[in-house]
Amino acid sequence: MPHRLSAHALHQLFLSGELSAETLVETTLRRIQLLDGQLGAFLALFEERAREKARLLDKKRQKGEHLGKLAGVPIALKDNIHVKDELTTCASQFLKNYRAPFDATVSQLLEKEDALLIGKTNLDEFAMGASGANSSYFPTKNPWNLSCVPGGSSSGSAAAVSARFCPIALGSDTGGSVRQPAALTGIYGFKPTYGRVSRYGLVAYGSSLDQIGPMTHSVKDMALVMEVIGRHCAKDATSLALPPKPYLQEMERPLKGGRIGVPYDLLSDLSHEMRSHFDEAMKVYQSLGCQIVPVDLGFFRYAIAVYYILATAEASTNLARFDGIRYGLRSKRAKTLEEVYSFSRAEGFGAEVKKRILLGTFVLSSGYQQAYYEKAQAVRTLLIRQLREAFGLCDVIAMPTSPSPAFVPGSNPHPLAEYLEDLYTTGANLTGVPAISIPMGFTHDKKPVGFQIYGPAAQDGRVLAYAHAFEKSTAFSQAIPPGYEGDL
Amino acid sequence: MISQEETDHLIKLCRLDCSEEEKTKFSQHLEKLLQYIDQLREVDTTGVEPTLHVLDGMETPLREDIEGPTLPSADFFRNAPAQTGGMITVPTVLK
Repeated sequence: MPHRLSAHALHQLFLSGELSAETLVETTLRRIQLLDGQLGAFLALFEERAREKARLLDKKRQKGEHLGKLAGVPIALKDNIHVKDELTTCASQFLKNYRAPFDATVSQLLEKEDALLIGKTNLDEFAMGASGANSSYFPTKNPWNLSCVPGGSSSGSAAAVSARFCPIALGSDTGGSVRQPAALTGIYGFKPTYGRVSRYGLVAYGSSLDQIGPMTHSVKDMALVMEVIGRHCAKDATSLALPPKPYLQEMERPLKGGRIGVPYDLLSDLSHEMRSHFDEAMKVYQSLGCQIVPVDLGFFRYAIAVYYILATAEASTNLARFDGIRYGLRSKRAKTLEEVYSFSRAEGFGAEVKKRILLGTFVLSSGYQQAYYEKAQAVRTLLIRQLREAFGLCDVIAMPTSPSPAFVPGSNPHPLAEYLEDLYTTGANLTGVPAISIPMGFTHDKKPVGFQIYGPAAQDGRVLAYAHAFEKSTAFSQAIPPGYEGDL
Repeated sequence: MISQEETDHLIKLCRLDCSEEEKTKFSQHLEKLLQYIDQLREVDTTGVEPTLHVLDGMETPLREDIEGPTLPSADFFRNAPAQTGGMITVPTVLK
């Protein structure tokens, strides 16, 4: 039964003494060991570490000592987030044996609040992908349909929460990598305002776009973990000087009279089924007293192009550190210094990573930098301005998360197919605003679909409030994938 | 649009070793991506400043310049591919 419960329910059961941390860790680990083989959500389990922490927590509770806000809650982290002494592979062969020499700030914050860190989840290599099929170890499957992808790049975190292995998992979102897999697996996925959560200890992909984001099956759990990790960090120079916010309170704010902007122009190519789910979701908000207002986000048609120029440019720089010198793979064939660099990288990186590094290098190379990189930066300004103008007419903006539900890997031969998944999500990373994906139903063939709420910068609480209101009026996020409901 | 020479140059710039087959594949993929991102030419960006800080106007203060704990050498060296006497060993740099 515990696996169906939310984090806050588990926390209460632990505090009351009804459920020991030790029992919870054992049932969590056993469940993963029995069911994850077919799913591929986890790359590593912290068996000893979690058991030790559980024993410590049970002792603390017995002695009446102070316990943190996440005491007793099992949490998984995407394997591009450092947890000291544990492997941090980024699902790449390059970092196959790399053990984190330090803790990410978020890992420290979770530990301080007594969370039970249970393991590292699978991802598209170096967070590059929207499927979960680009891991260099093994692909992750969608718990709702094992022949389909769960989405990516936070594929393992999405699958883990969807399959109820743990109530909370952290992912990272650069162009939609928390929100899109959340939509495809029927859970909540949140990308906070840029700078709200520390990037210290997150392996960088696109530094001006990356944010660590939680994935949960309850909005209250989302607010709970955001209270813990949403704070200024002195080790992240892009961290916002905002005080921590009481998100658990802010999410309860009523929406009456709230105005929701919808960019109808961007919805014209949606399938009939997706469009009708989205329209139904808007009707739910209308029944709660909200007003739907059309807004113009015409420039967002260019968001994918802007994203793929800026993200790959930043990635080509960020991944230059993987040179075979100080850590990671060093090719055994290398005899010269040049060979250390190029053989190690050739052996260590998968095809998608290489493609993006090449594109990023191209758009930054002399002769092309102005036409591509600087152009993209200017269009980014237009996106930011247009979004700000749109927020002058409404409180939040709604749009679908992904144009399509979970797909069979390799089924779309279009070379840019996976890139076009990011149509509705990249806008939030390019403009820095908070955005959440919310489950809105299922397709005729039982695949989850989701929509997003975008908020103005630093209005993370408002976004959570809109998600919570929808959650209270619907039951989509309570559905558990068949095969994962039973007790073990 | 992108010549084999240009692809070779790029591959050298990013220090990636590639087989001939991979070079052709990457070149083709790059071509398709460039065709897609070329649509940005349609956008009039005359007089538009490039975005340098995504949340312009929001504060991201620098910390105080105070000494504090950093990464201990021992922790760092645990991942070193080759080391000797507290230094990373590499092939000859200068001949």
